[in-house]
Amino acid sequence: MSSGNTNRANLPAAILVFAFLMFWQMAALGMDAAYILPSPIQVVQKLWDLRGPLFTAHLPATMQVVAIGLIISIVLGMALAILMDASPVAEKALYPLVIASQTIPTTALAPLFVLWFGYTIWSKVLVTVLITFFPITITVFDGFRSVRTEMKDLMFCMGADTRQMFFKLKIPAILPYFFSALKMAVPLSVIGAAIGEWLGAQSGLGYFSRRMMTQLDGAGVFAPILLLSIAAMLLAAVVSVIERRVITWRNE
Amino acid sequence: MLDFKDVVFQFPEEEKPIINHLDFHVNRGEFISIIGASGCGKSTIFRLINRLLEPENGEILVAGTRVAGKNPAASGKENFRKGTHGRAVGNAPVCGYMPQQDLLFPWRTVEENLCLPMELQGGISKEEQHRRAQKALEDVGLAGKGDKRPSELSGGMRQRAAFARTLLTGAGLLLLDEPFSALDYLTRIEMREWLLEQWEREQKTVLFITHDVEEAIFLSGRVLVAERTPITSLTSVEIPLGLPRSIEDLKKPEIQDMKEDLIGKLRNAVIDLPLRAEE
Ligand SMILES: Nc1ncnc2c1ncn2[C@@H]1O[C@H](COP(=O)(O)OP(=O)(O)OP(=O)(O)O)[C@@H](O)[C@H]1O
Ligand SMILES: [Mg+2]
Repeated sequence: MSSGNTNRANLPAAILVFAFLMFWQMAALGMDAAYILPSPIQVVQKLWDLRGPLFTAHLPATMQVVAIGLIISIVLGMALAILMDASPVAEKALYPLVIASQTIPTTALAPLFVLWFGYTIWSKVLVTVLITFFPITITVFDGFRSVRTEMKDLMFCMGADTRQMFFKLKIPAILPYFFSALKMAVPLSVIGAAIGEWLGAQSGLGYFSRRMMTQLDGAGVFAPILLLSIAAMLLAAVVSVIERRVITWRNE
Repeated sequence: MLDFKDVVFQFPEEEKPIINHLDFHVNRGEFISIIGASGCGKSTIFRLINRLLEPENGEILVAGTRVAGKNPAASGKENFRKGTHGRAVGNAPVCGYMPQQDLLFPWRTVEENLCLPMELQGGISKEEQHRRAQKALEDVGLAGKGDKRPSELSGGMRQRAAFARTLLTGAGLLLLDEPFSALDYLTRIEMREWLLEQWEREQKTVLFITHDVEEAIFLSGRVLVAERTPITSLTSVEIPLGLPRSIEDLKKPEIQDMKEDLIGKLRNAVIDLPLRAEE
């Protein structure tokens, strides 16, 4: 898979994006109401004008929420998946709860978190964790369930103990699942952080976007959103790169 | 090397035991094939020896050590948690098990796969592991393939690697459960001869399950036939062929007769089987 090939394969998509941006630009020019629909050029312009506060204060604030949220979600999700794998009782008790937790409208609960944790980072982290821990738990648990019984039996016959079974069979076997989980969780964590900041914060891209809204600054609302999207895409790309480094085998 | 004494086993879901008061004995250094109708319980015998299943009655001895049965020193589950499962004194598992699929771990290179049983036993230095793995690779005809991934090998090569891994468990008793059944015909023929060479060199006791009567005759000194379900006894048939053997030997009239006889036994067994819903 050479990069030249990939570039050519992406060409139609690139053309579509370009066409969409052109259409947006025309529509924005036609409407001439930048407070509702700023043109892409105005958004980029705004991003440049606001680069100081955006890049030095708000982007780091959001990324901090994303990072802490992701770490907690990974630890929590892995712990739950390992527990459910290790104990059938835990699985019976936890699995339905984990599934049910997904019916909670997290965004609707977010104001509560602001009530409890105020404008501290923890209200945002909690929103992020609530959105991201689920796909991590479920996907990693699926990974554990996919470990072939025959391989477990073989390890058993070779005299493996529980710890060896875990580190030499289960962990490598779930790694591909872990990375799929991570690739799902990264964009979700950015969404979670932004929602949290939108509801109550003193810094962060979500907070900044909302502040611009109160000032009827259309381009100012869009600029941090654009930055958020780029950040999410970059993070996802980083995860993909690490994945390709780590998972060098083809799964049957 | 292996003794079954009055072994009874029944799956909880089933009404009748699948193995009932089974006795048989295997001498050290023998190559024995077990043949029987599909689903008659051949793999179950292996799973009992491996302690993946517990017999209800009777006992199983490997090299004189009781691996399963009434009042075993500790149950398999407990041993498993302690990490002493399946290990005789000296820390090597009592038997090496090779299933139908190679079950090489795709995230390990071929050499790392061969090192797995030694890693599990512990106490063997990395250099020593490397040395033994390289030696085993050479022995099984895979010299230079150690750094490849299993997916880069052909089916026959993977079975050779899996066999090398089984050897490196250090066990004196090898349980091979239809190891060649997933291979194409020509590769199978080649692997048979190869396996006989391996057995002569390694001086191991081999128990070999197969569906292929010709394969059983070609490989073994003795064939054990499971004629009925539940398995209450295994009929022992000596193969009057010396070593080394060639494909030509199979064409001898007495061997042809023996083959017909064994196939006849298996066919009768099929008729005796109670009708099963599926499978
Ligand atoms: N875990 C299980 N629970 C209940 N029944 C089982 C279980 N495993 C196997 N059996 C039944 O036990 C019987 C024997 O199984 P086994 O795998 O030992 O047969 P086999 O002789 O090895 O067959 P094959 O030649 O097809 O490999 C089968 O009929 C199967 O339906
Ligand atoms: Mg079988």
